[in-house]
Amino acid sequence: MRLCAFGLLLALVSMRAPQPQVFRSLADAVRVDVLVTEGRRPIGGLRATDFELRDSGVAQTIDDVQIVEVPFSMMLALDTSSSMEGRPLRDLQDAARAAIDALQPGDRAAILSFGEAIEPLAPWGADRAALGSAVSHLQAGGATSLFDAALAALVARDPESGRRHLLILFTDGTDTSSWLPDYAAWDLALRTEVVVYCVATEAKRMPPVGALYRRSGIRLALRQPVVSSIDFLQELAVRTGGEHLTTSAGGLRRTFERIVTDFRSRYVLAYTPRGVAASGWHPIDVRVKGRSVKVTARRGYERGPR
Amino acid sequence: MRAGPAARPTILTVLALGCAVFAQQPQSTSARSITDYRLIVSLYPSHHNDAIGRMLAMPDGDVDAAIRDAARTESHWTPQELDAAMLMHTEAALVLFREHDDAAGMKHLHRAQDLGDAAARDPENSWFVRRWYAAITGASRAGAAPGASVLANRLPQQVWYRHTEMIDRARYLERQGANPGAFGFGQQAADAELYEPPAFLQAVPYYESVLIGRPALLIAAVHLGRLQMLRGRNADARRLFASAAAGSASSVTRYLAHLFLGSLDERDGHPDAAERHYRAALAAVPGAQSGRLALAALLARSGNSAGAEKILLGAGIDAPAPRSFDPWWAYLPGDDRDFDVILAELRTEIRQ
Repeated sequence: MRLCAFGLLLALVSMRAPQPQVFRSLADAVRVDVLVTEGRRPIGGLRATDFELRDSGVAQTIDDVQIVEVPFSMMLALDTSSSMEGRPLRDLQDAARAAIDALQPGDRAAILSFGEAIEPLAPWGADRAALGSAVSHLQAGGATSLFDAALAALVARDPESGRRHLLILFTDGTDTSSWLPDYAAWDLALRTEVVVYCVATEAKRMPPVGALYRRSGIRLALRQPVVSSIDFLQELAVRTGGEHLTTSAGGLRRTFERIVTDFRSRYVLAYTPRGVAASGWHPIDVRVKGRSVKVTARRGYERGPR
Repeated sequence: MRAGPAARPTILTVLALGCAVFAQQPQSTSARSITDYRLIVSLYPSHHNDAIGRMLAMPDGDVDAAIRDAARTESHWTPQELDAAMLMHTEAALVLFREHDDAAGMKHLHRAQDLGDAAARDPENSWFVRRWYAAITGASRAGAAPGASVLANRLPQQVWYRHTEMIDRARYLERQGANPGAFGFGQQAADAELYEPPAFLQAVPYYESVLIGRPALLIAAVHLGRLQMLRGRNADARRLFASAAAGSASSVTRYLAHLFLGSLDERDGHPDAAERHYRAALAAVPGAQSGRLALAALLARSGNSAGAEKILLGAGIDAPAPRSFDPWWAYLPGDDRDFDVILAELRTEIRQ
């Protein structure tokens, strides 16, 4: 059963988990969610002094590093368009339940599904039974408003402060019916601390094609194309320091579990920007000193109005 | 937007509702019957099962008299009232067909047809009647309205039908132009600032002919405006959208026109004007998803993340069941969809 608008609003605003406020609040601080891996293995045990961070090319002092104990908020944005009917939907439900089961005390989650309509199935909360019940109510149908859903999921962040934000965006195809263009979500991704893991099933993944489908074709800025050849999911993941993963339908559960595990092993670096412009685009470069490891972090952040 | 079996009224429930209401009322005169019928029609958009029940409980002669009054040329009924009455009798007919009372079903379908003829006298409203006709044709194909095929011979002979058919042809081409392969072999639209497949060029004269022959059919202006926008003819697009936003009596047409105008203003670097258009769109069709997303994205881009959240959390993505209606979802799909989806869209439209 779907929640009514008013009820969901109340729930979103009022549901508050116990407050494991472990992340120190820093005025004007920038937080960067970082995954350090060697091969595919996450590297733990690093300290603030192990990292080198540049904001707009200017070396910064890292004020704080947190790992594991920072609770996180996980949004599951799940494509339930008509092509998900039957077994694919059951595989997706199984994967979503696995992700919910992998949450720890203090973590929270919310769920929205999308065909052409974007429907919130569960408001932010920590009640696994309620979240699991919401997953049971997923229904397949409609076209695919992937771009619209990505933007909605980025906007509908958990109101709890001091948390890390994970968005798992699943789709089995390509956008066919969004009002907004792809770069509306890309643009917003640069303004949030949400880390986006995009998951697509191999079977239905389509190459970029120069088609509008049932999209509006609007452009919100000059010199932006009507249709883009850039892979939407790849770009969204890269911009936020997440990953773009493809899997078979049968491997969906393992993929969702791995995302939660990886996310838990990420570092959160906090610093107060010094020597850089107060607004505009700030490219970020994060490295681990003296080690040949892979560092995955968002490309940068945007401050102030466009 | 498909109504599940549980949501469909059965003949017993609607009759019981109707009898309960009319048992409490004194016997009607002809004038009283017309007044009662019109009240029932006004109830239909918000309480369609209840309204159908009350209408079915009225004596046949009273209903026919009221419809004659509503459908006459000098009638004071608004097109929207005629639309509501048309849909009410259509739904009643579908209920009766499901109950295998084909004769009664056809009676209500003919009543709907008479009301549709009257409703289509309003030039802009003929597009609504055209879509109703598509739904009935679909119901006939699906076996849900066994006798409805007789309407197929009557309706296309109406004068207004030709222009609405042109819109449908143009919409077909608009869909074709949006599909993969629309540019033919060797051509690629990817990363192009303009989008101008051959099918769009074929669609343009159809929309232009509609606007010349029946200028009040402003949904054609919105569609033509979109094609011109995609072709990079923004000034022309803006003029067409503005004419639809200012001149249309249809909330759906105004909604779409304002949304497109807002996007043009955003593109041209006028966020305040864009916001005004998005809010005007949402005033026309409150809560529609595409309008809320457009406004939320605008606010987020301007740094107002709290405002963006408020717009989305207020009602935008929190659509109550059944799924909220968004005119954008019905903008391009053809009439080959399930008839009950089209009828549900029309019913939601008259609620605006």
